[in-house]
Amino acid sequence: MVDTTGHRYSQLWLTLTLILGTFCTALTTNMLVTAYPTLMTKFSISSATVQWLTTGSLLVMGIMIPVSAWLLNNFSLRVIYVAALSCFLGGLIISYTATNFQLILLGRLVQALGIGITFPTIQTVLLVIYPPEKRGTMMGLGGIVIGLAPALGPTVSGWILDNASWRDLFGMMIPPVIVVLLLAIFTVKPVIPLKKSPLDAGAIALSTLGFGSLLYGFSSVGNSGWGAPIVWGSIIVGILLITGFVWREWPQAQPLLNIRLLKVPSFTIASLITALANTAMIGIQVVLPMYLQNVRGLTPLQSGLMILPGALLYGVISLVSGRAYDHIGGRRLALMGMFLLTLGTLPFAFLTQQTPYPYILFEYIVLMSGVALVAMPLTAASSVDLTGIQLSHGTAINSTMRQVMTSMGTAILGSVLTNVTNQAKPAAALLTHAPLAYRDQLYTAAMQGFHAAFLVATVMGILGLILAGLVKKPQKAQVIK
Amino acid sequence: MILILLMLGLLGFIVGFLALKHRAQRWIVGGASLLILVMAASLMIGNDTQHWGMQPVTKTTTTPLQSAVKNDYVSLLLYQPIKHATTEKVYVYRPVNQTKRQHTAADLTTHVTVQTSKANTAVLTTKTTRWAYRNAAWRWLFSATGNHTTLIKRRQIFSLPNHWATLSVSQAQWLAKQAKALKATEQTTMATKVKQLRSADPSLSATQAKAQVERQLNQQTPSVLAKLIKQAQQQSKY
Repeated sequence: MVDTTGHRYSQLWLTLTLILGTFCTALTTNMLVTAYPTLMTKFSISSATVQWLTTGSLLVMGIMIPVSAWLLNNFSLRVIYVAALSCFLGGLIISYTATNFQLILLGRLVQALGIGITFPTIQTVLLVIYPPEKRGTMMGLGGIVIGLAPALGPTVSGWILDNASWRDLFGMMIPPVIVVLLLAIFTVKPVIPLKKSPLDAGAIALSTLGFGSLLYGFSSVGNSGWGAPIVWGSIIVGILLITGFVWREWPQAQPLLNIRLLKVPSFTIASLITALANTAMIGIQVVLPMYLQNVRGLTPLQSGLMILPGALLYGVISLVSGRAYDHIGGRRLALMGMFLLTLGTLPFAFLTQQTPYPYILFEYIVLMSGVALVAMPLTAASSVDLTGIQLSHGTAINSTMRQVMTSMGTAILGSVLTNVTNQAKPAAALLTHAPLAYRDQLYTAAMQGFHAAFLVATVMGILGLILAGLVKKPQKAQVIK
Repeated sequence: MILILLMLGLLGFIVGFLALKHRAQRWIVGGASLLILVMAASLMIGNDTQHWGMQPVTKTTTTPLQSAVKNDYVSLLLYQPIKHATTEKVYVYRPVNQTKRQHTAADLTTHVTVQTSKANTAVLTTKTTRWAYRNAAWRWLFSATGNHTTLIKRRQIFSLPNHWATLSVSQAQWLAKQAKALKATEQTTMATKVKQLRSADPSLSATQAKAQVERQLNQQTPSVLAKLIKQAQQQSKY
């Protein structure tokens, strides 16, 4: 294959480098949660403070992703990717050597700059360098890193924390990132045709502040509740700024983010489906460990191990479903996947305090198989009617959509859990004169909260199933072997 | 087995609908697998929440008891309120031939009653009701998913003879202190009384006088102790 400058390059090596790089960055997205208790005691900080490691990096990613399309169309891929990995590496080094919490957080935010670029980059590059009939297979390969790595995070970090210090959470990533960085210098070529456009500072400001504010609002729900002014205030300001962004961008010939793509039905439906599947999956990955640790008393590592088989199978099925997409198109995969997702989530709405662990483990496998059938194939399907520069814009849009919906979904699940639990909670007075009854009612309340939260996740699955019915059947021409 | 069924259903569903060429084949293999998958998932939910395939089985055991605290005045069954609970407590008891004390479980599934009996010895009767599979077929269906012997309820009855008393741990400590004091006064009373008897009737030997006084005191002691135990029961139980 030749790149945009006419030089030959190896697709295999390029793909491999991108996958390795994204694997490194994706692994860290879920890793720190396990370390929260350790960091809280080590630096004597509150749980609201330590939460910033997640909230902050989520914000930075949410800001970077909408801009990614413009970056990819204006700078050589090699420059972007090497810069992203360098940011990530720099951030790792800052956190690894940090002597206080502020430095860890700073390092984490610098890492998030890199993570926010690597995610849409791999998706765009795979869509651009492979012909449409191979996209499913390649996206399936990408799915291993995008889906599997975050799910591996908690297990890996639980294991590291049991055997080494929190520093090693960052430290152990440094050598592989250096290797990938060196690899990237040689193997990543400018394969995306550049289409330079002037930088619209106003649009960047609107998108940054808008998505930043919206995501901040959603991530504060967990601590402050929906009623807090900081929550609905940020969400309203975010929505207003994003509306302003859409207003400004819509008529432009060379927009920062080509939102008019949302008028393409195949793109919008497929993007919504992947976003819903991702939301349900992440929501459950957040809520299930809470059940396993708070109700069942498992350690973070144990609860991580419980969802590990599902995560591993996700990788395998992602490969299969990607190939299948190239043969049969997205409709059947979407219907099957969303059905499995719903079927796999429903049992969690009926969890009891004694649910056998094998049930949880295997039901989670069903759930993850469903997500694996949908996620990557439908990402490929979203690009069916897009060409050229539209691919990078499409990727940026559906990544942003996924990011926003996931944080919204997680916020909704989390707040349903808290609200239902609090309403069913026994009066504190009971604790003094009947501690046993108090404890019993407390657990019952928590179970009601979990049931409600998982029911919401099931509803997301059903919504996805309905949307899947709207995906068009592939035309005969596409089904060619 | 249920897990194997679930996984077979999942595999058949995915392979059937994805890999098979003809529509009819797809619906036969995929559809059948779909049924198995849904059935397996429903069975798992039903088994977990409604205990499908299971029945309650009750087992009864009896344990002869000895006093929880060794003393020469009364046999005791002790209890300890949980924190400052009004009714919730655990009972502390000691089976015969054991030196270690045991206690009843601190949970809501355990119901304990204490009753007096006409028998000479104290016994603890425990009726434990647990879920168990109805038959080998159900057990086989849900094999490799754990023991599934969830406790439903535990009924424990302490049957104590008349000469036993039930006290809280702190009440028993109070009683021990009082009994010690009582013994001390008894000894001084004994010494004075022996002296009095012998001065009144110099023909009595020391042992004879002592025996006489002891007889007198032994008649009084049970009623004094009974009073003391009643007093103990009125002390704070915490």
